[in-house]
Amino acid sequence: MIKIENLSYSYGEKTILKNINLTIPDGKKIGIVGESGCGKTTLIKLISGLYKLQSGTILAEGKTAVVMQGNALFPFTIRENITCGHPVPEEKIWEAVKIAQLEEWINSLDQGLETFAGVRGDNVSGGQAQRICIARAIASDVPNLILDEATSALDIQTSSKLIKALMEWWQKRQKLGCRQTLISIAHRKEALDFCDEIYHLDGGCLC
Amino acid sequence: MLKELGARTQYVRLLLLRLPFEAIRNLIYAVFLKFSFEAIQDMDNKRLCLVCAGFLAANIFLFSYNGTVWRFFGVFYARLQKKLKVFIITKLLDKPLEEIDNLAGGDVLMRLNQDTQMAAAIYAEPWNLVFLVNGIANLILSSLLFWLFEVKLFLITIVFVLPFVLISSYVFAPLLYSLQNQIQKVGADLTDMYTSYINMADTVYLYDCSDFFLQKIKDKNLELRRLEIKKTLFKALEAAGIPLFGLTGYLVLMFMGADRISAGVITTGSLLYAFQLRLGLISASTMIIKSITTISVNKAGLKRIKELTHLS
Repeated sequence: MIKIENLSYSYGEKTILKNINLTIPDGKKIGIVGESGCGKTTLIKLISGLYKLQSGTILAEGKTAVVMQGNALFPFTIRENITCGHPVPEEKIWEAVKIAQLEEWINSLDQGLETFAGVRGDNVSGGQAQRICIARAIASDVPNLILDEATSALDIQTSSKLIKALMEWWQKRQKLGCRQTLISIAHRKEALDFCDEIYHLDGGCLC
Repeated sequence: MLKELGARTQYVRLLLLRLPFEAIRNLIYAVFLKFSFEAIQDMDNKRLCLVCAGFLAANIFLFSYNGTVWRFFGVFYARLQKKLKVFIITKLLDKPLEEIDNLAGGDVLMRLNQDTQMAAAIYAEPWNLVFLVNGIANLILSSLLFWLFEVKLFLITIVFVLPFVLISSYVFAPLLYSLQNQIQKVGADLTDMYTSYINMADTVYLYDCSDFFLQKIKDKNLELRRLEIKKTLFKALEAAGIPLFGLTGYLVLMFMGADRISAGVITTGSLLYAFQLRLGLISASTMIIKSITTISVNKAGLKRIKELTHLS
């Protein structure tokens, strides 16, 4: 569960978030839409603990995995980028790879998961990098998952397949008793069709 | 590279200015030893004083000349580095965006800083191209004078010097070049890791992988240190070989020279003259070997710049 109470945040004189109140029960999928610069990413950074709170409270049970906008690949192998050095079972890695629609591509690589996927981008396109980041979040197996424009670099077909696979995985986990919370952020409402509830962030207020 | 940067004519001028230094210095020392010891043998103090005064004046002139030339080289080195950096940046900006996107930050930084220094050093630092050309000039003059002095003694000296020149050129130089290439690559990877660690601090925090990241940096650092130690070891091995070969040749020359002095064929002064020429041969060989080694190491930097800018 994630509970936000009276949350406000400003950059200097400019107030970005004004008195936000939101409760996301376990097992819920919520979407947040809003224009560029309206404070979506700031809200995520506050929820995930990357930014310190200025006023209000946030209660997030368990750890949070976030898929940020853009390429956040480490200069390591694909496997290391997915596991982040943690002992993740092989089947879990491949499950994440399949959901992120990376299986076919990784199997076509000579070195498979051991292929270097660093900042040079020699082997990895922007879309593939984004999907590796999604696989990383899935493999981290944490209770709260946040996707910040996580499929922006993907074509519509791959994006739909990924969302479908992600939802199937999410439902399977719900049945097994892992009530994972999912927050997805997008510019457009249509990209958040899979969410239970969609909130609009406008003028620093959530409605 | 110098042609593209518009520095070739100036460089050739500087090279020509520095060219005769070692050869002339060696000749002055050889002539001084010959005449001073002959004067001592003849107990001619006046001649000895004259020889010493001439030697002192020649040395003052030579070292002032050398200092002035190196000052010019210093200015040239700084200007060359500046020109090269501007050239790299211009070339980078001229590249298609997709090529720029494929370049890692660490790689570009490495090329701009260390590689530029290394490439410029080939042309303007001691023990690079300057000493290579000087060494060759010194080797030619010393060989010629030694040959004219006595062919047999010259050939014996060559027999002791040549193997080491060959080993250095064909074993140590390629080995050090390859090691330096690896050092440059690992160094660039390490810079990438540092920049990624800073740029992706949020992801590192979220996925709790700071220890893992730092361990990777530590491993890469260790890999770099190992390569550097290997390079130092090979350089030390190469440096140790020079006196070893030199000393053996020295002893042989001394015994043969002693026989000739006893037989009254040459004077002690003439033997010392021969020793100085032998020293000239060895120091010229050392200059050539060390310069070839340093050039081959610095060529790794030049190669990386060429890859980026397609310099000729």
